[in-house]
Amino acid sequence: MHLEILSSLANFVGASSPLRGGEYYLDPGSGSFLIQLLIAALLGGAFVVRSYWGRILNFFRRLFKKDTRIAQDDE
Amino acid sequence: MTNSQIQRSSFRDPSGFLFTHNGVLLRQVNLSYQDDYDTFIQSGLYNKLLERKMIVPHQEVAQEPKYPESAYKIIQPIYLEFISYPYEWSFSQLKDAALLTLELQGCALEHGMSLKDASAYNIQFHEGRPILIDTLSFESKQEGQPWVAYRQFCQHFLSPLALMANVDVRLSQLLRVFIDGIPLDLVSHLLPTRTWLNFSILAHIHLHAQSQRHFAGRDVRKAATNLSMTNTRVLALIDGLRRGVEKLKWTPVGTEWVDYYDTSHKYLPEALGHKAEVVESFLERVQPNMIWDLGANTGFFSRLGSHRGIPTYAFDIDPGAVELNYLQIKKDEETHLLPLLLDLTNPSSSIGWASEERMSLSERGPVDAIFALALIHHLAIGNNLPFELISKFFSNLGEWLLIEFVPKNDIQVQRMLVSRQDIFGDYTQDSFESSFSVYYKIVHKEVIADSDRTIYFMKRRSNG
Repeated sequence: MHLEILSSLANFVGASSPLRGGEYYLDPGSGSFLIQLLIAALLGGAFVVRSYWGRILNFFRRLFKKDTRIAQDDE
Repeated sequence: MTNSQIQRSSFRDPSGFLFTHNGVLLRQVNLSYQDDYDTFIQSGLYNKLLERKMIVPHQEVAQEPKYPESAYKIIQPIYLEFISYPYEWSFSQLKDAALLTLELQGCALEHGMSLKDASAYNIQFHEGRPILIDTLSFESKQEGQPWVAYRQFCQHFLSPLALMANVDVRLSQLLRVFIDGIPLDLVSHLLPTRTWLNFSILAHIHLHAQSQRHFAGRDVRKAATNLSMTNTRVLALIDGLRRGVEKLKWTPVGTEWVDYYDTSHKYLPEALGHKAEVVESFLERVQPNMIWDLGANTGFFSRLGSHRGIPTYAFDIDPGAVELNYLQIKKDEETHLLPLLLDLTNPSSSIGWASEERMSLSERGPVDAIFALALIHHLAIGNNLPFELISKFFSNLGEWLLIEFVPKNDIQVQRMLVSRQDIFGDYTQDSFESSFSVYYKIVHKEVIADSDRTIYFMKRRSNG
């Protein structure tokens, strides 16, 4: 049952790019391949947000600073 | 050509192999690996790892290859004087090795490369810290390609660490049985249900195990065509694994020997001081190149060796003691001491393919000096081992022996005999001396002040 959910998640998540067939030094395992793609896709968004968190915060800080300055000018 | 020998553990990788020639350890880089090797060097990845002390340094040498038709280059890595295995590491040693592997993969990705395997046997401890020994571990990464070593990372590192942190620290011994890391389905069964609430363990162990079982042998390319593994996603995976590993914790409370020196009253300060002096005078006299301290506990006496710059290996049966020793080594940035797990009554044996791939303890010796301080009573009384067998075993491990005889009236021995029948009529100092004299010459002996214990300097007999 879990695996049907996993498969549909796989379809939902998005862009297309075929898995490269074949010659690997290690047997990566079919199941390991799939779960890795899923986990990485799930984590991907959060990871980007975390990496850019500083910049995101700064963006909002600058945004609020602008607002207060405009408010003061109005007075 | 005739004095070259391929290392017994180096046969799976078509990129190259280790061999010794006239006693020098060398690595042949095969032609099949030429492009990856050149990329490794020219992209700057090798230099970066070297700077951060994450990989063993090597030099390219002009050496006649063992198999010239397949050889691209011969390199000489620095020689590690002692090899240890993941089942001999404490919790934090294994954790640090895991984090190093992930950091290596992160660095590799920055240079367009990727680790093609994530085996714990590719990591060794050098100057107190984990380091990668497999120079040929990196391959060029194509965009969209998943991390091919992910499964191996989970089995070699995440599996034992999760078990040690959530079930029992002794489960790292499963690594002796499962030579390619602990199978995920087994780990999933052993972990408590609450671990299903931990995202990392749920994803990388439980669901990973389910996925392996369900898709075993099937071609998943169709199911995966809608997913791509961009570089960002690979980095996200590595970052997720790192956070998962960091969260795994184990504290050594309650193991038998951890409070040994604190709560135990068997050593008065003067006795301890005198014992240390005797150990120092042994070191002065023998000047050993390497020391194996057997039953080292947290390494108090091992440090008398390592602080003199002598490479010292502190073996103990208690995971807590080894862990505390390692944490202290990290804190002090000690470079000449390595603590390891060892049950002397069942030491690491040679395992792996043809039972030759990983060396037994004895095969990694003999060394110049063995310490057997506060140990004999555990073997002779705790484990019913006759003196002669003990001395024979020690004589195969090292040339010099620094050993402490603990008499029967000692409080530690009395504790052992409290709930047992005293069948140890032979456990006397005279019997000890005569049994050990079969394999050793007793060069010096000294009674420890304020105690009934005697320390002996013994030298192995040449015909023994």
